[in-house]
Amino acid sequence: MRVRSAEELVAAMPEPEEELDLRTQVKRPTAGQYAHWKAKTPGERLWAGFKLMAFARSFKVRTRDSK
Amino acid sequence: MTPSEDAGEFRDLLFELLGVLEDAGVEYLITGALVRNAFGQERTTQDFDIVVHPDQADPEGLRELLAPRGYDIEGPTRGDLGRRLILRFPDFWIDLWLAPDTPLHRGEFDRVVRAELHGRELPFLHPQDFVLRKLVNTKVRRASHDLDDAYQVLLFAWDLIDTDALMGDAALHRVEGKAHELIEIVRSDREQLEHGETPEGV
Repeated sequence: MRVRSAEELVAAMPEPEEELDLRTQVKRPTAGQYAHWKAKTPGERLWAGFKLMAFARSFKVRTRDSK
Repeated sequence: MTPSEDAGEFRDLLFELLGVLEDAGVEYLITGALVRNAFGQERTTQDFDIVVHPDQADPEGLRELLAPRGYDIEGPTRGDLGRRLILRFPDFWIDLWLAPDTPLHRGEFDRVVRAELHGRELPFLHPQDFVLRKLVNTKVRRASHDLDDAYQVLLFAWDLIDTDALMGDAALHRVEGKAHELIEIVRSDREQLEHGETPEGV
């Protein structure tokens, strides 16, 4: 019997029934947020992402230390 | 430590690893949250995802390269999304994905998109491939961010994406229903956002 690759197996899987409106599962931006992010270069966006990660980590450390 | 210095730690961690791979001639591309952050609206993450080219995805060779440099390496392990080595750091990790030898994976390396961060050019998974992968991921796992990642990158990198080709690839992977719905939502939202209007329901 031929062994199927992971990709063949995934391709053969049925698409799950969509029970929710996809709009409710994504963070759609306001006009202001869109203009703000659209104006940034990929490098500026990446750096903003790193800063967000740093903030999330410092928040996590503060929360953990305060317990 | 200021937020920027702390953010610099994440950047330096990434640059250092990429430097090791480049010096050893290992071809790689960046995927995961960093693609979303480069081409969409940012989100936080607890890991970076790097894919190693199929020709060089040898876990023992990578281990021999990285272990002497002090990396704490776990694996290779096999999960829902493929085989990887995990590089552990305090409160953080880097997934080093071992790309299987398939036309799909080789094609992704032919289509990388480059973007610059602080003077360094980085190779990213093409936004179109990223959207497809995220849609396929929704079939194999329930991660709340997959659809949102696909939406953000499709919205902000719209001009880099051939939606007809994306639909063709989505059909091959049996995610055409979701792909069609996502493309129509983004098309509609984008039309309003480009005119300075906030879409209804936001």
